[in-house]
Amino acid sequence: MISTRRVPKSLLAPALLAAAFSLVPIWYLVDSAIGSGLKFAVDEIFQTSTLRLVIRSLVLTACVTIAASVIGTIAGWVLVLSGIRPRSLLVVLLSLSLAIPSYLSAFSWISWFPWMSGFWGAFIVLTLVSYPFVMLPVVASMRSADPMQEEVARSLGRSDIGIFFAISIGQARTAITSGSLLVALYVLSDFGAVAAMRYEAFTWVIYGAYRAGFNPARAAVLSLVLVAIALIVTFSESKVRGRSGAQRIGSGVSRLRVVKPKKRSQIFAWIFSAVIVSGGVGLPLVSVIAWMFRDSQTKVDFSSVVTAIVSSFQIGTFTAIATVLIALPIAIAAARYSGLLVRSIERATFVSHALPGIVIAISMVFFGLRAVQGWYQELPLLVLAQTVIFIPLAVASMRSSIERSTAGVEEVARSLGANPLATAIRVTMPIAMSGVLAAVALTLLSSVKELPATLLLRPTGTETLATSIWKYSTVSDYAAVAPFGAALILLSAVPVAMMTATMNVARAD
Amino acid sequence: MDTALSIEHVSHWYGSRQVLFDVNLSVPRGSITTVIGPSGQGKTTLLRIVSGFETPRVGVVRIGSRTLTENGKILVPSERRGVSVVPQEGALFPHLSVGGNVAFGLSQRRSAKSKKRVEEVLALVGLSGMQKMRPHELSGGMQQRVALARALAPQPDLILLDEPFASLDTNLRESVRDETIRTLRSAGATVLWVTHDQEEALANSDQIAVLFDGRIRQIASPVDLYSKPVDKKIAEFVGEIVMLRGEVGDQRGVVKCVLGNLAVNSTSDVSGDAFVVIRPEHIQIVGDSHAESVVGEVVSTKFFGHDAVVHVKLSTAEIATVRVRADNIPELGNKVRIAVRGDVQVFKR
Repeated sequence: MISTRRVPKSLLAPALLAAAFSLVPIWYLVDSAIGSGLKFAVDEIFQTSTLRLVIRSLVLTACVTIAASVIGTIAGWVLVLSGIRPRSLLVVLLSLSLAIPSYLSAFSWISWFPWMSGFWGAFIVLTLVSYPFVMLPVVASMRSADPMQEEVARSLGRSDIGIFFAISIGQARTAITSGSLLVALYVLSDFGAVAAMRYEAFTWVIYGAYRAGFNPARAAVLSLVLVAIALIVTFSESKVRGRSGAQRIGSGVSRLRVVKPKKRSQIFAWIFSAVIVSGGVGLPLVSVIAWMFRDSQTKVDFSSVVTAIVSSFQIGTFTAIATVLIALPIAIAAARYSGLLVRSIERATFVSHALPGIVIAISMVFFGLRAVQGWYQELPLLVLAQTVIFIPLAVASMRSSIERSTAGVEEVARSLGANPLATAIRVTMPIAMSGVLAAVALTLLSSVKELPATLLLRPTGTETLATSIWKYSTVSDYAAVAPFGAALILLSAVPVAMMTATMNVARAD
Repeated sequence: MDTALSIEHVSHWYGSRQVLFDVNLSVPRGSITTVIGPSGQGKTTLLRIVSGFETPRVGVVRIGSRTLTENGKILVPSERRGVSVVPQEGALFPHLSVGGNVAFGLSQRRSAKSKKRVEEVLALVGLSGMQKMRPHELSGGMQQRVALARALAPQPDLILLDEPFASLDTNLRESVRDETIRTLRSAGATVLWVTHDQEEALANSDQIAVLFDGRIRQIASPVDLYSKPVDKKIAEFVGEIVMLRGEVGDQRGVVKCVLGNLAVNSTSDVSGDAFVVIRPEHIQIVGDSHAESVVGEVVSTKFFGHDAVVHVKLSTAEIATVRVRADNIPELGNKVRIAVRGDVQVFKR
């Protein structure tokens, strides 16, 4: 139940501030883009090279989106409908590629197949990294769909394959669409894979314009074009999610799905899973292990690995705390209240969801140069940039846990004699706690993996896990990458495995 | 009997839309007062004003001698009103056990006295010894009873029930409702209860207030509300009616309609064209010799098990609904003779 009453000022003020905060990058981008005159900006946009860039990015985005949707949907079928065993292990294995940072995956492909550099490499890597965005919602929707529909279709004479196309795809349609838009957004904003593959997509060119050419105005203009495209994708995604199709008409408890495994579909499911898992997870893992035993031009001493882990965690911890503090008022307001103001606050975080990390990083450079000059290449500016990047993630995670309790509980607490402060301490906080902890963990680990903002804004002399991998990979010194890569994979695999495992448990009861 | 709660001249707006118009209601101590009315016409807003989650722009709310709110000012905040709420879905605190939920409103929650009180109220709602259970382990009906125990525990001056049974299954609803009423009665609680289910209200209240379009249309005992509704809409809302066109002539107290000249309820002062309102149980199928009876054709019948309803088409093409015993249902298409017993209500046409 959502209350229609007005948001209390004590909540509204921090929520508004947080929303305004996540719009700071846009402001500085616009400011820098037209800083060299409006004519310059317009000329930049209508250059042939810009048009080519848009086309290259869109072609890559479209190809990856289509491929990832097909793979994600088939993976959903494998996990829910094929009757494959052991399923929970396969859920974890097929989700694990989420844990591999795209740049690490890309470098591991390049290290074996240097000729893949360019479009095909970027296409393969991004597809393998992003198909879980389609697979996970498809699995959820196929599980909640009524198995009766399949039985009815069978009784009307459809075959297995006929049922998959006529019923299962239809049931998962909303999940596929919204998942594929997430993939599109991911591809548009990914920096690591396209940079490693040297495919001239937006993010890499923006980085180049900023770093190599030091042409900040061009970087800002291109960023705005990219943001415009990403915003279109984001809003389509929220639209699609809003009108999720009726999975089931009428209420009533449906029976559990009993799948009779068929030999042919089993074989297909196994081959499919083997190929996808070895490409998405196997190859990077094998690479990292193989690199360990290669000779290195650079002597890696393990104290530098420890130092990198420590600074990654230091940045991650600051980011996680800042992000959760800023996101909490938005999450509470969004979960508990409705109305134009609350929706606008939420929309503001959507906007920052559409901002690629590289764009936020560059806008923070401008912010640093204009507003807080002492902060450039200091820790606070990097934490600030990562905070803006991860606010939507933290809001989503906390919001869903707050929504699980009805809005009435706070009012009941008041009517039982608890004043607003006591209500917050005794009721709202404990209920939100699991979501807050999850958001802290999620933000921390995402921060450790994050590349573009860290690369641009890290304090001088600091190397994190991500930047170390980047540094050695770009000079093909893979033996030096290995220990950093292994540490990063281990750190990010744990939460993904935990998340998908709980997803399985949640279904069992 | 003294007054526990009094609501005086309360008007309220959401933005520019007025949702309550000059509402006056007083709830006697130890009574169950019900506010009924269609959904979305201000019932819940009224409760939220009493509990302090809305502040009315105009009007006064008092509990006993304490003024809670007056013309847009909150004088006593929610937490110091001594008004417990039982909301629609129970709204148990998901992070606390049953015991923790019930003890929430007690001071010194860990004291022996509090433990005893928790035991007491849990026994009252029939959940003795369930302190350790978690809310999600309970059925919907049990959750609702815990919510009631939680509301009763601090011995509030007033308990507000906001459609607390609406989300339960039909079978469960009846038993949980009956138990709740019994518990509240035996605890001697003062209750303000909001529901859109008029049958539930008629069966269980001491006093009923009818709220239509943000206005209180009538406050009466269940019996008076059913037999002497002040307008046609209320008559229709609190039970089935037969409505016929009629005319009150020079002779006051008699209305002429297709069913004959009928005696009018004494409170009415309508003259000229009128609507005649009759409850189906006041129309009978009678023998040929009955005076003041008319003949009609049976056009449909509905069987309910314990009784049945027969629709009879009259000479003016108006339809009269007649409640009959289940073993006495006439055949479809038959002619039957019907007559009214007792007074009827008339309203201006």
